[in-house]
Amino acid sequence: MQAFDGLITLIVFLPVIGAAAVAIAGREQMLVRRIALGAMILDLLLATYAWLSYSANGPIVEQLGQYGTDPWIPGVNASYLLNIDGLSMPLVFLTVLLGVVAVLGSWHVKERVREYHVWLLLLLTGVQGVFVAGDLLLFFLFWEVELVPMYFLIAMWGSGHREYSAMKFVLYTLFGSAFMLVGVLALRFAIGSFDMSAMTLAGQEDTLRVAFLGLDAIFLMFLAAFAIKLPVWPLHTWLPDAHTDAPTAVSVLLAGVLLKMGGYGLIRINVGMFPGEMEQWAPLLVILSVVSVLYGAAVVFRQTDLKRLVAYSSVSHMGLVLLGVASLGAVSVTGAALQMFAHGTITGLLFLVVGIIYENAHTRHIPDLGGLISRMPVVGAVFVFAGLASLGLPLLSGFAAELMVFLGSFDAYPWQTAFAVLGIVLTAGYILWTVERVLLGPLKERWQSVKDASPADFVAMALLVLPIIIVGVYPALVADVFRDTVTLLVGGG
Amino acid sequence: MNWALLLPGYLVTGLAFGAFTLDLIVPRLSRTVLVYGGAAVMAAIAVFIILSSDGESSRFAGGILIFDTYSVFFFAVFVILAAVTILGSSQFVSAIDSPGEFVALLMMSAVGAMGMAAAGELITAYISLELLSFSLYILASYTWKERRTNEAGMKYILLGAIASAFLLLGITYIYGLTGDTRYDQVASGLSALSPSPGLIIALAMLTAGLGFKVAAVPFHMWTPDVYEGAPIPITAYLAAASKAAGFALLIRLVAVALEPVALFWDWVFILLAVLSMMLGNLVAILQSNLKRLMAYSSIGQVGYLLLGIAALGADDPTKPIAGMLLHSVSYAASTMVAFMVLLAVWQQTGKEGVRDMAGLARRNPFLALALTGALFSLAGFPFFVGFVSKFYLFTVVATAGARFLVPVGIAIFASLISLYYYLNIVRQMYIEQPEDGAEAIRVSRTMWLLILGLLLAIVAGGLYVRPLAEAAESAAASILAGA
Repeated sequence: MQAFDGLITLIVFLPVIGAAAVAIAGREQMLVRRIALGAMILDLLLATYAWLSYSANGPIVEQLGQYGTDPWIPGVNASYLLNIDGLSMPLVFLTVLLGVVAVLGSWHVKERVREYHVWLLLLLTGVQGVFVAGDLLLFFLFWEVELVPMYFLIAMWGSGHREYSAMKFVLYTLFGSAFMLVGVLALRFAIGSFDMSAMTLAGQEDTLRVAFLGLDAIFLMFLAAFAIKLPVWPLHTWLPDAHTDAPTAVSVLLAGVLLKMGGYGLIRINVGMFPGEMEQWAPLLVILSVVSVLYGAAVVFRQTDLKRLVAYSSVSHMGLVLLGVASLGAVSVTGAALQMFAHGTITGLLFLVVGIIYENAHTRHIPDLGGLISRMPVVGAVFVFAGLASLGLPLLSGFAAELMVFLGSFDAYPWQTAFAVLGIVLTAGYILWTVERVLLGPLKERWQSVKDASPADFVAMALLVLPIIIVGVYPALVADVFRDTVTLLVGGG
Repeated sequence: MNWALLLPGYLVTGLAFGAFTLDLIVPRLSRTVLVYGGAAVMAAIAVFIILSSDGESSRFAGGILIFDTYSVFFFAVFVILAAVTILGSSQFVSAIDSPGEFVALLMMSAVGAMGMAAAGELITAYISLELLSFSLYILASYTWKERRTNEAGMKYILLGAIASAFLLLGITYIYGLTGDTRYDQVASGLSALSPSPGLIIALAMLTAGLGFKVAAVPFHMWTPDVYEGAPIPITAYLAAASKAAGFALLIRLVAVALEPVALFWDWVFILLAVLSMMLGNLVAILQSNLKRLMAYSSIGQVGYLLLGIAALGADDPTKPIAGMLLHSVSYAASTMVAFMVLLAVWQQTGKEGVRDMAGLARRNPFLALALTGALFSLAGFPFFVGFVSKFYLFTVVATAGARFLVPVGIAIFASLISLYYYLNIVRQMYIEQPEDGAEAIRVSRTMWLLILGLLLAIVAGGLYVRPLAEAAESAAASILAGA
């Protein structure tokens, strides 16, 4: 299948069109939901089409104007350049898929429904833009633009200390992006335009030179931005707050795709453009990743709030992404990318299930729950499924990803990898313990009338269960696509 | 002498005198005619100015006024800003005794601003500046019966007079050193000089005088009080047009007349820039009155623009000039939107505090949306013109030399700080509940259209800035070509 002109633009901006339609749709709540859902399903079809086109014809590139002669913004030589290559494709697909899930998972939102969906759709455009930007200015633009919808979604529809958490999220990310902006400017002077492929080329050929600050400083500035987003211990503290207080669908997107922006940036920019510096700093990053894995997993045991628990497990799992990236082998980096995809679906599913439990039981306090499986068989079964996927059960996607990361990193960092594998043991421990405390045991009196998943919830869960199984059984489907680009960036096979 | 060159100035002046005269002979002048008619004619003049621009550089009377693309660019900007302000003051005008005078003074101030952009000679620049300042002294204290306005107006005049004295003294020194006041002659005179105490005094005086006019730290003390005391349309005009006029003068002065000493003096501008952006943005966090908050935020914006002035000593000053033109237009448009929303709220409630914006999204979603857009644009957030212009400015300044990297880094952090307090206002509007009994806010059709038009402009500029950037670049090139 041949990609048509404007396909990427359409995929990225379809949610904006949906948001505009929602904004003028009037007060009818059902209509608003249907428009948002329709837009995202259409987007999912387009993304599938793009994937087919990618498998048939390779990367898709779209550009308006030219660098130098006909730029989008003259003077600074930026251009409207979007591309989908092997690294972007699965992540774009993941974003759109989670977009559909998020709209379905928001079926229970009753307050200011129209505004909610407008922000949700705008958020999706911002995240997709990050994954497809081929121009560093555009990348930065999308990176920033995602903040505003996120702030409102948490601060207005969240729970608990929502305003505090939303502000904390914004300030952390802004702090990182201020560093990144300096890095963006420095790369612009080195290359003369914002063309990311030219920057990658210069980086790979070791001809990238930055005046004044030096490459190391620029590398660290990008690293700071992405490490906050990923997040890496000790920069992770915004994450539990944001996750806990965000509404369900937003938690799904936050864990599912927003964290992946950090991993994507690490691979695309830190690995792709600064291979020399990456090699130099890798040992430190590996240690940080192992700390993230173990710390995240250990802290999970102390959590009594279900959402906070899943949030810390995210910190642990994203540590594995960093481990894979920092090991710098084609296998380990592909494994890291696959782990991002797998974690997106698995943790997305976990948050969705937790959200459904909260919606029906009105609490996430683990000691208060128990025995829910007898009243919520479907939700309970999916919870167990997601938990097993999260702890890396073979034939589910998490296993394939973790295996690739460990295989790839073991050669370079045997001891560190061994410690990280310990994290898997901890994960198995806390997942099973949580399942026991929430689902099993005697049913408490107050949960007699708890309801199971609604049809919308059911469809949303099914949409995430499927890719977990498919990728688990046949990981090459996604891994090969990632590998196409990863081998270009890390070099060798 | 080609008198036809003065036509744009004559047209606006003629319009101003027309308004004065009408006020005298028609005691009950229809405000509608005055406001809508005045704004319409001003808009027509702006269109005429743009259309009649032939891209050539003409010098009037041996170069005391220079009519090049740069002048045309600013003429159009000032006339449009004056027209917007006149439209925005439609309700204010109905409440005062001499509406004709008010509108006429606004027009005269635009003439002064135009002169500042076109001036190619120090005395002409000074006279134009005074024409602008005197109009503003009166306009800012128009509601003088109000205590805080009275105090602010007095402060403005006294400090303004001192600043003018500094400026004149600086001009005198420059004349003494070079024997001329025309910019190009001053430049050739200065290039023959080596740094001397006299030169330093001259530059320091000029910097202090003009620093006051554009409200750069440490010459900013008048700004918060005057912004707070002046009627809101005038505050908007002060923030948007008067500041742009100060830069119009400063850019040509530094790029042409002071070009030989620009590298020698750039550290002063860097210092002022860093002080302005840090102090402006930090103190803005503490403000509870929105007009004061905007005053401090405008001081921060001056800091960014001053970085461009500092970069004029670079090998190719075209890009920094274009960056400043772009950012001053983008800033003017965004700040206008913000003040117009403030005005709409104030006209109904009489309140202008940050907390009074609570729940604005429920009381009038359109105003809340417009103010959000304006504030994001001011903060330099993507997809608004403020992002593009700020990014353009920072990029070209940072390219001008390695010594600018640290100041640009500081500027980026200052922008972050600004996002914090802008976001705070947005939070008030969208998340806080309106006070009990707070009613919906109505907007007149004129204001609605005006705000919508400006809002669309700042969004359009953010998505596709090329036409504006190219206009700014050709304007920038024309100053240097004419020199």
